[in-house]
Amino acid sequence: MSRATPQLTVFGAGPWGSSLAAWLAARGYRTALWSRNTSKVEALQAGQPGCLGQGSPPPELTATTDMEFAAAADLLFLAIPPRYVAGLVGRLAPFLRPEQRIVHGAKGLCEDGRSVSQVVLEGCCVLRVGVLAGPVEPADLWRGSACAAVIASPLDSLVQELRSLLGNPQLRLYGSLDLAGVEAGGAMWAPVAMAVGMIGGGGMPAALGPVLLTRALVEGGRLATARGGQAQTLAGLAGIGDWMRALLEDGDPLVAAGRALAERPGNCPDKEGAQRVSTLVKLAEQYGIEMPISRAVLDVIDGRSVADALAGLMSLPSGYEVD
Amino acid sequence: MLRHEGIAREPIDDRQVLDDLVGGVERRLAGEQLSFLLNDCCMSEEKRLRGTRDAAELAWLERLRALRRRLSVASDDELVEALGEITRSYGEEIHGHFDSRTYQSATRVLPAGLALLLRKQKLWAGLSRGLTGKLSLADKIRCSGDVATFDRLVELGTCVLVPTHLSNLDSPVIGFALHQAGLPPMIYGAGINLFTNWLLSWFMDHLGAYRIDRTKQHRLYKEVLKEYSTYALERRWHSLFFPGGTRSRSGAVESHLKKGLLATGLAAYQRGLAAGRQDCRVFFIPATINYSLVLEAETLIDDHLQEAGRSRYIISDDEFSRPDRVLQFVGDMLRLDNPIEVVFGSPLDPFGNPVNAQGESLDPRGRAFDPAGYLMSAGQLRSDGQRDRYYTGILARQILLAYQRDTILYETHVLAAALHRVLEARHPGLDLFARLLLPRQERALDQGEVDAELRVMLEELRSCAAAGGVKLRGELVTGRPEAVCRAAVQQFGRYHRRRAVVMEGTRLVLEDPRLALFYARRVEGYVAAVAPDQGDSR
Repeated sequence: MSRATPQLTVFGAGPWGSSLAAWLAARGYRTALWSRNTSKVEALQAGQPGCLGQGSPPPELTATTDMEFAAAADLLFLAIPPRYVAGLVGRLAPFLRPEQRIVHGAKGLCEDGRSVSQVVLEGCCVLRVGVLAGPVEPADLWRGSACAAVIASPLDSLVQELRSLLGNPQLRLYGSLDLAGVEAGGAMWAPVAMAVGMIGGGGMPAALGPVLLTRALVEGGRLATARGGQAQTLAGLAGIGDWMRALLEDGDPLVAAGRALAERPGNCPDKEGAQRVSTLVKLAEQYGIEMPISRAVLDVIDGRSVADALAGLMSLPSGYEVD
Repeated sequence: MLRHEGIAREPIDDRQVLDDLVGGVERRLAGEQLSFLLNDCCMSEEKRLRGTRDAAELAWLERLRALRRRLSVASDDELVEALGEITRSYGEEIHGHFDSRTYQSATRVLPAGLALLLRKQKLWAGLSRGLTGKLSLADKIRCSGDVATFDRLVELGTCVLVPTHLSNLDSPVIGFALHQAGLPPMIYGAGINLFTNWLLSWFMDHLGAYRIDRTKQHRLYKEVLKEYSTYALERRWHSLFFPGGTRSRSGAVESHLKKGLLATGLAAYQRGLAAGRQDCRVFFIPATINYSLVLEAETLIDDHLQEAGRSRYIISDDEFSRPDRVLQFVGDMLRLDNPIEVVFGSPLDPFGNPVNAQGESLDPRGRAFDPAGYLMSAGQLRSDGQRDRYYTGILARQILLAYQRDTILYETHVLAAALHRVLEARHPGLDLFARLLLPRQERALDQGEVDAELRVMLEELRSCAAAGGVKLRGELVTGRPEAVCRAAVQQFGRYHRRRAVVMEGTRLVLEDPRLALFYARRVEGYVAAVAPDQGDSR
């Protein structure tokens, strides 16, 4: 494996991070994969097949625990859960330069209500930030399945750079300048996926699924607007386009958590998901906006039955479909 | 002798300035459809000057009409020539007449001039005291904040002072504050309507003011202005902008900034980097200009509240245009303790990062770094208008945060806000306009009720001030609600023709609720809103 300064670094060697890093390396980019997990890094350095789940690491991939080395790349991808971002940015900050770009793929906000891009902007000198969002799974990249995603950044130059860097006939990449809107779509993933699970697990009619998604679109639009984004963005791949995956696929851990909650309210198996929903509800209060779906999901997390929560939602006065 | 030379560091060749301006505008607009731009200019000027009888304006219109007739058949060279002519004409109007020698005499006379305005003293007595530095004006216009860093930065690069804007007195006040703090002169854009006041006009002309005509709304004029500002910053003429664009009509601290002129700081820095200049750093210094009473408060709030006022961008018939009101105001203000205070905030680079006294940009953890990288891609300087607007947006947000932190609240603001909040809580069904029309007896509030509201507000404000979120003065610092009331009522009685608030026995009366609203709005954002309406949509 090469030790030359990487062109790209992916931080976080979970399923997303390692798949993305290996995929980028396989496309010929000199890529570093940073992890604090020494044994995982050693296994990758030893070129052990299977440690990425997809065979041997590509030769262009360097696994490392060396923060300074990893931080030297021009383009940094953060593939870690939002709650770890502030800590990572704090450790990265001394090595960063203003010409670098930082992109993340997190779905969800940090516990204090900030988005990952806000944490980056407030934690280091880098101002060129973006997010990769949409219904893309690590397995899609490796299988070579046709898939699509959205790249959002307030900087058109960064959107264009990432589209040309990542996009290919397999991965269709759309651009957006609405970073806040795209991040709001990601933040809505937890309540939407859990609610989808609750509908299935609670034996509710399948027709509630589309109702849920369209109302979540309005709810997410309010959140996006309150955070300086555009409601319309939620009608794209980062919003409803992503959430539909929860209806169409079965394997997402948050959907499974929703199903488990339908059976045992108050006993959420996904603590991080529960935290993300709780953060959203607090934000809604802070912004003075109505987010009844997130509120109802939190109620179930707190022990209310799904039937009760649904009855509560159905009894709310209905107005015009769009605010 | 000036300690810092600033714009006085070199003789200014006006002709050269205009030549450079013409060249700069040509480069700025290279590749644009000049015929469209010139046509827009001609049409806009035709509209602006409709019905004029002024000979010079009529001649100007004739020139533009002739140009417009030629536009469709004009060659590229002719269009560039026409662009140059118009730019030169606008440049002549905009460009100030700064001269270092006159500046030095103007600054010596300024305290006396202001004091004469303010104290109605006899000319010679005022002048002699002013020239010997014994006037008490310095006690009345207090400067605070990070003056030491500002003082260092003027030597290391170009400083752009970006203050809040409440009154037309802001320009002379800040000019005096700069002089008092030993800081260099700054050029600044002043509305052309301000030059109608002879005394102010003289000072402005000699203290570095250049003229902005806000009635010229077409793009070419705005491009000439931006180029002039960029050029000035490139030449290291320290500059002053009011980024709010105009005086705050509502009395609230600015919540939105105009970014056109702000962006010229980044443009100048970028040009300096491209030219390989070592001293091309540009530093923005946010500042707040704080008054316990505001000269034009009555007109400004009326303008804010009137539907018609929304389009009345330039007010030419306010208190500032009446010397008797200016004299009365300043005289009355001088009888107050610390009635005017300028707070110089912490400096920022064109990307909104804090800057230390060595002129280095700092990341959020205090590490120094070179910000030139923000303008680079693949190791090369790149121009990118969309990127630069993003950076300027970040800078604007940081300036607004500085305004919030460095705003000073006085007793007048807090009492006015407390009274309006009590009224709002009493009449939850009424909107603001309905509350303003309540009969006088409804606007008479029990002192006890007001004290209770003040107690809650003071607790919030003091906690905000302790966290560095705002600055408090007078009785607001530790005083009891009754003391705040007394001080505010006394101050309200000083200048305005109609008192905003009066005390009648144990009742406080919102005598002029509109005027009180102007002062109340300054407190917005520092205390929680009164019982917001709850929506019911799901």
